[in-house]
Amino acid sequence: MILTGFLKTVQLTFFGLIMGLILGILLAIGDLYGGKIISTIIKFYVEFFRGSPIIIQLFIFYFSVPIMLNIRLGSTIVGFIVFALNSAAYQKGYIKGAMESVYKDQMTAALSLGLSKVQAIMYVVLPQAMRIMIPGWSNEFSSLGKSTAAILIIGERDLTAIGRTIAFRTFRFLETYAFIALIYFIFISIVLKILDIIYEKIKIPTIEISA
Amino acid sequence: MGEQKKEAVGTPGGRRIADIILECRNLWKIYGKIVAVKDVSLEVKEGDIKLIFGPSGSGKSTLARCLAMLTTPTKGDVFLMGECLTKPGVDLNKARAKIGFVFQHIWLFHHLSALGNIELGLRRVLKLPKNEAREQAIQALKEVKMEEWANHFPAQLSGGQQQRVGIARALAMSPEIIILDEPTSALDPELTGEVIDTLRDLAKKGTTMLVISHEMPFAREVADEMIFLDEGMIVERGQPELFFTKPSSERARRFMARLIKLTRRE
Amino acid sequence: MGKQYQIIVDVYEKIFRGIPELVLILFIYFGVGLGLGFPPFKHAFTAATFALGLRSGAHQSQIFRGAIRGIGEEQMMAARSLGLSRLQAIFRVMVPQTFIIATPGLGSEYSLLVKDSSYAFIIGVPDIMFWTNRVIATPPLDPVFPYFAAAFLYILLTFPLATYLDMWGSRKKKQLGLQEGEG
Repeated sequence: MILTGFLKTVQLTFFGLIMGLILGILLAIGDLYGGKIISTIIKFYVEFFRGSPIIIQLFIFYFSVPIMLNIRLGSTIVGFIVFALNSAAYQKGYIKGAMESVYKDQMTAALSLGLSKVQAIMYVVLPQAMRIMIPGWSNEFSSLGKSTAAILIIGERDLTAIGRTIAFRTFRFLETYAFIALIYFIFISIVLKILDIIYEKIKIPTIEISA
Repeated sequence: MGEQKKEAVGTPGGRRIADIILECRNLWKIYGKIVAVKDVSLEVKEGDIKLIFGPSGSGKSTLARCLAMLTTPTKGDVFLMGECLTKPGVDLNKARAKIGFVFQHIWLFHHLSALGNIELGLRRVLKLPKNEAREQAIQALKEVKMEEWANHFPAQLSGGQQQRVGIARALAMSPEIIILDEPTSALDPELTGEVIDTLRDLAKKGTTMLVISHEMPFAREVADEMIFLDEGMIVERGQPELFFTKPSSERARRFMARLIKLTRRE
Repeated sequence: MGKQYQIIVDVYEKIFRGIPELVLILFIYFGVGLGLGFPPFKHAFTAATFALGLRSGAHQSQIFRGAIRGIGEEQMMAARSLGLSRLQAIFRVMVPQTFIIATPGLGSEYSLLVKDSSYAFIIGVPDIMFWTNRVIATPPLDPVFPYFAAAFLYILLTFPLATYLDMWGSRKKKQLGLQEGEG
């Protein structure tokens, strides 16, 4: 039972992170090159998802949006949507920052070789931005992984929800929640370690390494 | 490399008017209220080495960037091999590929090795296959005597080495002309020598160049014409000897005197 | 400081980076408060506050450490070279700079904390979320407007102050040429 809950948590986390990355790149590019109107819309989007608690976002997509659009959404779908959109709002910030830090000089240099703007973004700006971004990405992973726990309020059976059920059934609150906490901790720590290793591997070499 | 280039220039299309490679006519660049380039006209013929110099803030860099169409001029026209680059609808990427540019602050791509920096343009712009791009990139590195450092990343190289890679990056595209925007001024004095040597080699091979520089001994040795720019305008132009012996304008005379004094002190 | 102290701080930070706020709140309220019967945590509000405080402490420790590292040994040495005592150097030189560097980080930590406080409603603390649900439940309302209103209320609580702190801190840092250090 705990395993299924854990898998649900893992699923939500990784789906949110990866969709968030794709959306985040689009948002960052839109914000940087899209002109005033697009960048204002993006600003509102980001402020909504970063400024309000994840619980409200879950409620809105579980209760409000279906009524407004006259559709039905299951709790798992809502989870995927909310965590992807929420993570995109955060990741956009990291990506934009990273892109800005490599943007100007490198772009000019790329253009001087005859690369088009799109090519310059693809081959020069983004590859560097992604490398710079990994530490930010680690932060986003751990905060997203943790916030998936909130999904129990719309009835999804994730790790925390299952833990709560077990706790109420056995009345061993202390042990059960400690155990659940430990699972989260191990999961998040392992992935962070892996990201760390990747970062060290693909980090752009500097003098220290060659010396 | 020099011979290779001559061939490239002599491709179909027949004789061009006096083989002018790059030309600008009545070029202006205005930023808000600041006039950076004021009505400049000049032309670079095949095999020419033009040297632009002048006090800081005189619009040299802006002029260079306008010529490479990295900045759009406010007024006036730029021609590459007789083709106007300032009218709408021109494929600027294609034009920029034919104009090599070396930056003052080098601007190698941090995430690519020396070789990778050079391969990028060859593969993505000239669309060469992988092994051919590699071959040409190595060739370009040899030209600047950096082949041993091919797999080093920019941050692992000294400033002078980085700039030589920067030159190789521009050179590898077999451009019609190379524009060098103060290639040595961001380097420590002891590192400028190697870069100047590289430029001297290029000059010997007949590479068409437009150099912004204050390296006066180098200028005297290789430049066909020197152009003194001040406040965005061409104040005086002529053969190097003119500037070193009797510049006719007061401004050029004073600036030369200061430069020569500085060089001596070093 | 001593090595052992460093290890304790490190473990503390790492633990709270890896455990969801919600699980922490549940653990403290149900586990320690109701399960173990530790009196203060039997009260939902106290338990939630304590849990969020612990988590925030871990974050803020990182923020301040980065700030202090950014100032570096040089400032300390310069201060000591004038004859200031260690304590004087800390309070006159290090602390003021630390707070300037830390301000943007503290701004975002504040907004994080406001948002995380919404978890408390799950253990029955009568916060914004609690009252929103109460409004929707009696008499039954469409759950559209109240949730958006609640979201707006949270944004109102977080956005202006966090943005102001970020702008003030960033400007000040730039003016003074200060920077965070690694870690």
